[in-house]
Amino acid sequence: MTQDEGRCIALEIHRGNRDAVGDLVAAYQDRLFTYAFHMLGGSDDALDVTQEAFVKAFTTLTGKYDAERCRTLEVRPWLYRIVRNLALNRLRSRKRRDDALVSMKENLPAQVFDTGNDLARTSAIRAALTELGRESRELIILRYIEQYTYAEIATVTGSSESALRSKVYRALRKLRKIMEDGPSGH
Amino acid sequence: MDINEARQYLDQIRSGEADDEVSRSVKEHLERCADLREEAAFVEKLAVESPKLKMTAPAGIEEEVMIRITDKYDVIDTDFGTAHVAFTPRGISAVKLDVDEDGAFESYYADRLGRPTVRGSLPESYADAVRRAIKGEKNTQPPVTLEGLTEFEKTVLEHLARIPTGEVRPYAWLAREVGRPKAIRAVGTVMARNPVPFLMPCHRLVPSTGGVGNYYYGPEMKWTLLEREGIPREDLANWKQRGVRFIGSRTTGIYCYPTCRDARRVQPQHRLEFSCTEEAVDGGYRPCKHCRPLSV
Repeated sequence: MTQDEGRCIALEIHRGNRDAVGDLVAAYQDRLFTYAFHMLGGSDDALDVTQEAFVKAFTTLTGKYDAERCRTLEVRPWLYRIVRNLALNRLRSRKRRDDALVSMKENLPAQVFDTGNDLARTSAIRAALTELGRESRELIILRYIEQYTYAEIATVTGSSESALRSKVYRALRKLRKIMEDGPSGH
Repeated sequence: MDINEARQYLDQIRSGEADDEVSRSVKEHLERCADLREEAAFVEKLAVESPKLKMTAPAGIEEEVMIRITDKYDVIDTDFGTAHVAFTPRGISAVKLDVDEDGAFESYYADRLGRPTVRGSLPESYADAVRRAIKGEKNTQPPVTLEGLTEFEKTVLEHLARIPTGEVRPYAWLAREVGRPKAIRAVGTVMARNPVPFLMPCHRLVPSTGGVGNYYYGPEMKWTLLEREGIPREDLANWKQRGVRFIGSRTTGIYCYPTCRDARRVQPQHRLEFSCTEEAVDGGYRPCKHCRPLSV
């Protein structure tokens, strides 16, 4: 979905067209779910947060934003920001920010990954991702799975682009080290 | 550019986000440094492999979201009998007393607001707000949502809600407040079609000539509501009969609508009655800044 299409949908939803919500879900559910999954480290929570994010998007567009705001909205990063805030709230409220890693390993259902032909290599990345901290994992997802530009990541996470550059770099180093050292054997 | 800075740009070079100067500078480093080449190869590999980690969302998200964003309604008991109360995540969207069947309410709702509603469970605070409004208790910020109404309806209802509990104003007054002084009849229509009666207090709007005028649920209910809010029915009837439209205070030189809170505290010995604003103005009185009486 292009930025313009996203804005059209946002405006439609603002005007009370509930079918447009279906279009929004269809266009973004896989990406948002992927993002939520890696943020939260669990499939059940990720599903909840994804659904909640769409409901929140709906109530915000219809209740809070005026038509002008919808017309200029950058829909994609905005949706990611909603997912991000919901996921962080959830992590905070359950006080398990540190346990997310553990529960991610326990809950990891292999079949939800689209593994393609390079099963061995992608699963090595996946395993390594679980060992990264939340922030590094998030950046790798946005940058490499979602292929966001630095400018887009900045609008999602609120960091500056230059800070992101060094954060992404550090995350890459960590990931590479984990992948080269092999699984740590938790 | 030092080598560490070059490392930070590797990833932007790959995606073509870095500008020419940066690219050239990083490439110089790449030629000199085998470590950096290795890192660049890793970045490249990750960029190729990572998109394969994309997941497919479980089925059923759309259905669940649609259910959650569909307005809900519930049936509650009030002093005036059972009421159907519809609500959204943002507040109460409709209150209706005169339907017995859920189906009738659902079709009224779809007609009036252009969207469906399904049975759900009303939050206790919403039920409370409706019951309190019906009891005539003060409801400073009724939890109401006007989504689905026209802009004119929204404006009129928002201004209506500013009339304090226990006070009444003429229809023409509200028309002036919203900046459409001639749209008195249109204001009346908005009142007749008000989807959230009691909470949006259409019972506080009365004819300029006095009395209570009409009400969707009949004038008797309007009298009762106003009485519960503290306006004695005898007073309203009496003012109408004697043609009293404004009350003035000899001590302040101000005139008000008779139900304005400022008019009510005027001591009987300082109290004057007027039948038109001209009379008050000629006597040297100025309009109250709270109830802003309309010139007639």
